[in-house]
Amino acid sequence: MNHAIGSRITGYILSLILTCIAFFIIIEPEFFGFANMGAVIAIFCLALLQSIVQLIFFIDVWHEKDTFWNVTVFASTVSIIFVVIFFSILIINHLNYNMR
Amino acid sequence: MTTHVKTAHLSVAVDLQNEASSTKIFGFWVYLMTDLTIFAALFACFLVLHGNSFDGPKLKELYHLGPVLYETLCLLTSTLTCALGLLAAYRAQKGASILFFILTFCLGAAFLFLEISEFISFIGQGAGPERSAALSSFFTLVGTHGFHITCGLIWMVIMMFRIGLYPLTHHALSRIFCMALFWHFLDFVWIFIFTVVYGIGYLL
Repeated sequence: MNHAIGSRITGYILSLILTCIAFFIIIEPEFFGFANMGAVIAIFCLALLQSIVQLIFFIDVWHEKDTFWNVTVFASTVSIIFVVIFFSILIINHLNYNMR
Repeated sequence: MTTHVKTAHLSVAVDLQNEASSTKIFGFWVYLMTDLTIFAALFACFLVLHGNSFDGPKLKELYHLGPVLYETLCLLTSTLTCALGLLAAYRAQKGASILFFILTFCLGAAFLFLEISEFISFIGQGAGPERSAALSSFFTLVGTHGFHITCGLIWMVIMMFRIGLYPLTHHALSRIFCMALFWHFLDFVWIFIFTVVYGIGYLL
């Protein structure tokens, strides 16, 4: 049980560090030598890292006996999210470009 | 049963003994994933529309990032206290569990207060959701998350009463587990709101 509390606190400290780094990149992108697009890519990578931290340390549905279906549903949702967001941006930018 | 709870490596191990709880948690997980799909649609909407300010105030000019950082820290800390409350419930420490959930509730309420005051300040500057497409998508996405937080807070109050009044059986524990899972999920979504809405909205 102490191990469980320790893992939660580790996750909390990691997510605090990641949040602070992302925040400073947003307010001072020049300090880190980023152009605006570079800063966006950097904070997006940090968000992915932080979501992995959250999934490992807090959202513990991965320890069940038949974890297969949890993972399957999660994976299919991630693929739906990718399709919805990526293709929305792609299609709308393309339309915008062609209708100028 | 109690010795098993004490030696359980991770909280969910308790639920393994009970097929019904396991199915319930899976069902709740599926619900959370469909909810994530709703958020994905709103994120796609925001990403497409965030530049369309219709000659009104731009999102970048409206943002105050200080309160946003405080909101994020509130939510992150509340995730930790919520997880600790769940672990205390698994160890049958009712007092500690309720204390942690009260802390979680206060942090969630502080988050909600900061978010609503941000909305009010936007509307006060003539930048309500009807002003432009960018603001509509902003208010819909952040407002949907705030609505989920409100539901989570109500659920948390109900759970605190349940912990106080009834014994911590398998069923009670699996309900508390679902509530904690919901709260972690909201924090998970907020990471992306912080990055996409405030980060990308501020930088691009």
